[in-house]
Amino acid sequence: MSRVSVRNIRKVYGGVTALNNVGFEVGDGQFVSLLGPSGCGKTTTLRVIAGLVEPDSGRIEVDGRDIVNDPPERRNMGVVFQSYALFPHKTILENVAFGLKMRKTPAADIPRLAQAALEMVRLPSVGDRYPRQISGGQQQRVAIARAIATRPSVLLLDEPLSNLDLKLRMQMRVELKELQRQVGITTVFVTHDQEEGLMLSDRVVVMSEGRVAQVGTPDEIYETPASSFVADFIGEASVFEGQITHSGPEGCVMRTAAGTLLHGVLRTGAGPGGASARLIVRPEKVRIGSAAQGENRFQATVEHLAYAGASTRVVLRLNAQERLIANSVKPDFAIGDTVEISWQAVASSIFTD
Amino acid sequence: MRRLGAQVAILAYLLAMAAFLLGPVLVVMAISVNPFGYSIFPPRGFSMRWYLEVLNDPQWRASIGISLLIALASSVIVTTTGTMAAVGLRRWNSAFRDGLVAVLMSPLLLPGLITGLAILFFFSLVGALGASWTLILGHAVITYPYVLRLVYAALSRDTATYEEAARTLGASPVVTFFQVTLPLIRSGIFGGAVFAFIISFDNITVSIFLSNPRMVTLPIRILEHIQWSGTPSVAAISTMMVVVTGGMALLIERIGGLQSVFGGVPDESR
Repeated sequence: MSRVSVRNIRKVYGGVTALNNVGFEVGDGQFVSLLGPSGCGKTTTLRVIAGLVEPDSGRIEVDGRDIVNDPPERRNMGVVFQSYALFPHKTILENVAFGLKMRKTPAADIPRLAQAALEMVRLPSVGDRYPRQISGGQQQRVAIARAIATRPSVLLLDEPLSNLDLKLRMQMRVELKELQRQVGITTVFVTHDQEEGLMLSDRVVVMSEGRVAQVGTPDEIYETPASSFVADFIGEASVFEGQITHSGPEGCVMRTAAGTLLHGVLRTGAGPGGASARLIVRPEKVRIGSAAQGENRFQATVEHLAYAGASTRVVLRLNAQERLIANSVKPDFAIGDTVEISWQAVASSIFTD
Repeated sequence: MRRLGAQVAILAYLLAMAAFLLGPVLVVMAISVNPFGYSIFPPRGFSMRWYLEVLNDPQWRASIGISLLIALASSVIVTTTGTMAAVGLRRWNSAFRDGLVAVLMSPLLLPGLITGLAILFFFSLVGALGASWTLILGHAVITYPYVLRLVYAALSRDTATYEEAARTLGASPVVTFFQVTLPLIRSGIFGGAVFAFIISFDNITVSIFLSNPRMVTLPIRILEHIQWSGTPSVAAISTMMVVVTGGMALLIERIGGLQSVFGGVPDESR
């Protein structure tokens, strides 16, 4: 069990800054996701932690000790690669036993410990097969078993679920989280799938263009995004652009190009009057119907309805230029109807970035 | 299902190709069993006389030994150095990498005679002409690209990921090489070694510049022999060479699969 501190990591590849002052903390036994679009530096960050990429500057501390100069074989970290990287010339059991052998486990204990790791991922009987003889989902579990067999202090996962089909991915998410809780291992998980990141993590590190955009619990990231990038990247949202007309302790008002006045909470910057800004509101915050509540109240036309099982996605037109998305559990209106919509100022975030 | 006519046509075409490629070799083999002192086809009778003649002739025996020794020594040298170069070049993230690979591969593109001449000038410049090791080094230069190419191709991007996985599991770089890299690229290395051996064994263009009366390789001996003699002993020795190289091709097929050697992709399903 270990704490990991990533401090001020910088990495430049041929003039391109891949990582710019990246830093975050992973508490003992925590599950932390690095979340961001492709090319944001999340995998590079993971590889820096694993020792596979040497940063230009910065520190990686495990329980307070800087390990940035240690080679990967001395870091005691289990890594699950996106392609699983199971050795094709070794059997499943030999794959899982490889780390135990390298870490000088007494030879008599190796088969038992390797078998125990396979049982932990519920694959007790594939030991004498070769990686190509088992399915992708099984390979993925073997990769996890191989990574945790040596009881590493940290588990690093690089998009381990991205090569699985949707159903298996959903199932593996639950299993992975369950396994991590059981073993209690400090885990860093790289993903571009925001749903995956929010579901699995104790804390989420949102990354963008080589920087950390926000660190927080999934709830904080979703409810109080630190920038318009985070708000837009995480979850679904309607975005309005305009100018701030008024900003005070009681709230902030923005006027869009179409003349709509919108109330929200200023999340970034001082936001002087006239500053250009973006307002973001999540679909589930928008109420449809006569029992209107909150500072933002409008008449809107129902433009599109998309049934999605538990709820229906509603596209509403405010005026010629502006639309927004809402969710309705039981829509009692049809396309073309005019409805009352409303949402509270505290439910929408304004950014001047 | 394909029409019968088309199938017959394809079969005929394949047989014609096989006859064109292998026919001359079969003629040589047939000539080698002639009981008489001149090379005629079809052979009149059957005899192993010329095989015995060749194997009992001290000159032929010396040349067989020299060629085997040179092929063995040069393929050991290029397999080691070529593998090392391929592994190093794969890891070398530099703009110069592809250029260096092209330079190392160049003996494959240059006319053999030019390479031979260049090697002759070089050894003459350094005053080493006539030494037996010049032939070994000369052959190493022209067989090097085969090893480099095959091992380089066997080192895919996946190999690098397997190496990284091994490192994170606690293996040092040396252990990683022997436990992970080497088994994964072994068919490439083996294929390269066999190619190097075969190319060296029947090389003329370099040997012709470097051999001397004490060091006559087998192909050079054959060339000299057919200038002044028409006995089927040349056919006999040629047949033996075909058997040796053919046997080595079979060996590659058995161990790694010829396809994996040419394709450079380690086929682990065998």
